Amino acid sequence: MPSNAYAQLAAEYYDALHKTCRNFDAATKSALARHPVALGNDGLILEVGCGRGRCQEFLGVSNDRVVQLDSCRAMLAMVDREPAVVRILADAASVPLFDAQFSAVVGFLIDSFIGLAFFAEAYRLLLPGGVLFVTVPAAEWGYSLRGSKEPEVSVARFITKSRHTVLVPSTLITGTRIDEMLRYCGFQFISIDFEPLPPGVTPISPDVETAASSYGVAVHELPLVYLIRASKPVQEPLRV
Amino acid sequence: MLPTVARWLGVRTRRQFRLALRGLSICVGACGAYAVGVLTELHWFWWSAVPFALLLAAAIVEFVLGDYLAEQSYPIATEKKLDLLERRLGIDAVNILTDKLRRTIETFQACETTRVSGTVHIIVELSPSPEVKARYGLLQLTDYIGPYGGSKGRITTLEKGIVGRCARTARTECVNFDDATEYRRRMVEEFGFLRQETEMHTTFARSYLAEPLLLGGTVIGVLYFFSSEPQVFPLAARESDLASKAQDFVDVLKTVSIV
Repeated sequence: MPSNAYAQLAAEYYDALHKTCRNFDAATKSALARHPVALGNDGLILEVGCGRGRCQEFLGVSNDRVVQLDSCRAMLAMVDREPAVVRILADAASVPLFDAQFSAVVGFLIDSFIGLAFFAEAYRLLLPGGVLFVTVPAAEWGYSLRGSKEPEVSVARFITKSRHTVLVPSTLITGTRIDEMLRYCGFQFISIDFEPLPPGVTPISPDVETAASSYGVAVHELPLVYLIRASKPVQEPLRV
Repeated sequence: MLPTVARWLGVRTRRQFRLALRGLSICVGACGAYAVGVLTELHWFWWSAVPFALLLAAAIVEFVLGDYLAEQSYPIATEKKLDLLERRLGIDAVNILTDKLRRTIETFQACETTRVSGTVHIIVELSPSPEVKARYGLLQLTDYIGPYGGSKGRITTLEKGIVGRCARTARTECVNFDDATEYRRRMVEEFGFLRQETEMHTTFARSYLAEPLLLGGTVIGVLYFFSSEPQVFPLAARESDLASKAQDFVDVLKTVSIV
């Protein structure tokens, strides 16, 4: 198992204190209202990087379909959470489950583990015709805050209630590159929509304001999250 | 004729030729001296003249003719030219390897190739320690291609690192890390480094790939790539046919007699 800095954040990750995360939540809800996701009426849904679980909150799916997966024990141990069929402690890029068992793989803000291996693993776990639906912070937002140099560009910085700084892995990938990665892994019907912070949301995180001002745009014009959708083909292409 | 025989025996330079001649003279001289001693003890004085003649000949070869023969067989001017040529060939070989590395990185798909670095290591013999008579290391043959990494000439032992594991297993090795904490922990637990050593490592690389360079089934080096982007390897190299590319690298190294 990877080391997991999220353990230090579990107790307060969903607090209003973390304004940037709450702004992401608002953008996600707004995006889902504009671009509803069809996950079908049956089949298991794997929620990766689940934290306390958000499938019911964001997608309104029945709890008896959801399998929650997280690599952080403290996140999975949170008491105030959405119910699920089962909780799995595992790395989303290496899930100890057999192939093709889920009708959907879902994840919200998966920047801590997004990558080729994760997409390939999601593809493996999906039934033919299954849907991948995930969100990540928009690269446009992240690059303006973190710059482009390592290691800063690959790290998200949280300031806790006790004023400690916790660094967690966070990969920023442009929409074009995500599209390329999904195609390479075999997905089809790929759509990547970006969503800014909807008007009327308060408080606005200084990180969102700073990023918007660096581009010279209003906070409601800056892409904040990507909504990524893709399908596993019903019939897998032949590999020679 | 002498240079032909010497080259047939694997003697390629003036220095090797001179050392071989010296070794031969010492052997012949020692045997001759021993034989003279034995024959004298037996009072076969006339017969002892034969090994004495051999001893004398060996001494003349070593002390009088040796440098002359070396000069005839391997003229200093020619030797200098050869040396220059080999150096030139070495530079060209390194340039070819560098170019091949760059082109190999460009074949990686669905990743940011601008974040991938690569180099070539070859196995070299290290000076023995009291405990280990035959010690081997990995010599970094080229500067890193790509945004990160150090310059050529660095040597690591076979016991350490992802590249060392590849040289030992003779298999493609891929390792991914989620963050710097996991990198440091696994470098100590799995890859043979001391905690203090990992503090000096660059810790922002997330995905590593090492491909063995095989000559006749024996590992002679390692192709080594890493990316600061997570989860790149092995998937990004799926279509790159690294085994075949590794063979191209081996061919270049063979051509210039580096291996």
